[in-house]
Amino acid sequence: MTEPQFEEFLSKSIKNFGDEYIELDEDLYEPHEFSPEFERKMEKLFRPKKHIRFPLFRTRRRRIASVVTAVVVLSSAAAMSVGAVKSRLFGFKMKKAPTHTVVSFENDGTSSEGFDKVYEITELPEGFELVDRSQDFDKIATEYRNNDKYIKFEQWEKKYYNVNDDTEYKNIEDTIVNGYEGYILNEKSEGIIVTWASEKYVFKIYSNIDMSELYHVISLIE
Amino acid sequence: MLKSRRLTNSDRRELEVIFEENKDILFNIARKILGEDHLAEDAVHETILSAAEHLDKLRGLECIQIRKYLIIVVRNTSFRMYNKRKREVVSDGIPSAAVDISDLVLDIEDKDAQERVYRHIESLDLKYSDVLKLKYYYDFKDREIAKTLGISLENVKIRLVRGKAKIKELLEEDAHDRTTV
Repeated sequence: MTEPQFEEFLSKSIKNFGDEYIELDEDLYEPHEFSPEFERKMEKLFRPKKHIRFPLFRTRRRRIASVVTAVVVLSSAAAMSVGAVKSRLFGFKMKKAPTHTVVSFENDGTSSEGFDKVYEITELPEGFELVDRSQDFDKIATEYRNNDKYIKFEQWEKKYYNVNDDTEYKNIEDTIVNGYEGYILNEKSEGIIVTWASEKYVFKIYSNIDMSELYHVISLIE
Repeated sequence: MLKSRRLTNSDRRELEVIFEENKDILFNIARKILGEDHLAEDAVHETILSAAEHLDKLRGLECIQIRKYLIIVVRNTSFRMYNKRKREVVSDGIPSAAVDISDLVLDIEDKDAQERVYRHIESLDLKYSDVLKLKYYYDFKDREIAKTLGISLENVKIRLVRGKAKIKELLEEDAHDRTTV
């Protein structure tokens, strides 16, 4: 018997006979009154998010404005000397665990309640369309798709940002994004996550498009 | 898709149903291992987060299979938390060599043989049967098993090799018993 045959045999054995009922001790069914803290955590996990759907930037005026903005952003960057492009550090707090890294921020008083300004991707690569948008007290998330390609953009209230980034098989690389300190998680087979923080917000973009194309998209966020 | 999977509202509803149907069992299993309510609640929370991450794989499964999956996760999560508290280093040691199964003769479609193998899998130490079930029933990749059980990829591979080696041993014992009867 070969290894693949043995694996197929194991799979068939478990799939054909693994559906049987499991008998658990009676005491495992005993109801438990969960703590209020736990109930709150679960309630937050299950709470439906408010979804807002709107047509993508289709008007000519917005398109022209986007192009103008892109030109302005790119030319300003080009005009700056390397020494002048300094990152502004807004205190990423990273706690490494074996399988992930917990990223959050010290409350430095710069974060206000609610979103004073909503940032958007002003120009998308060809073929991408908005498929979902949701807003909650802590973040605004927007997702665009072009078949199997995706771009997800999140704007977080800094004080609520507390995310477990999967860093088990990839490293955190420091980067500068639009003049702000950030980091990249890159996994060739799955995609890229770029995270950066301004004075008030944390921005996170997930995508499986080409890195240079993604950076172009990021430079046009406003 | 990358981790930090964003849940849709429909995912959240499905997850809530899964939680409501299993919460007491999960809590009681975790409580037996960890001995403290708040730690057991943490283990249940982690288990539901793991279910959220693998919701696509759980979708369409029978309730009993979802429950079995959750039990595997909560048990392993609880043991991991317990060991962490005890500051024990849990390791399966150096990698084992691949199992030589070239001399095994089995008819893949033989239902009796399949049932025998399933009983053997059930009789294994949980650390081996859990990885075999996640791999061959739930079709998890090794990396997904590692993440679900909170162990290294290397340990998953070791457990798979050792689990298969033990199944082979048991099958050889079966064959020996049949020839001596």
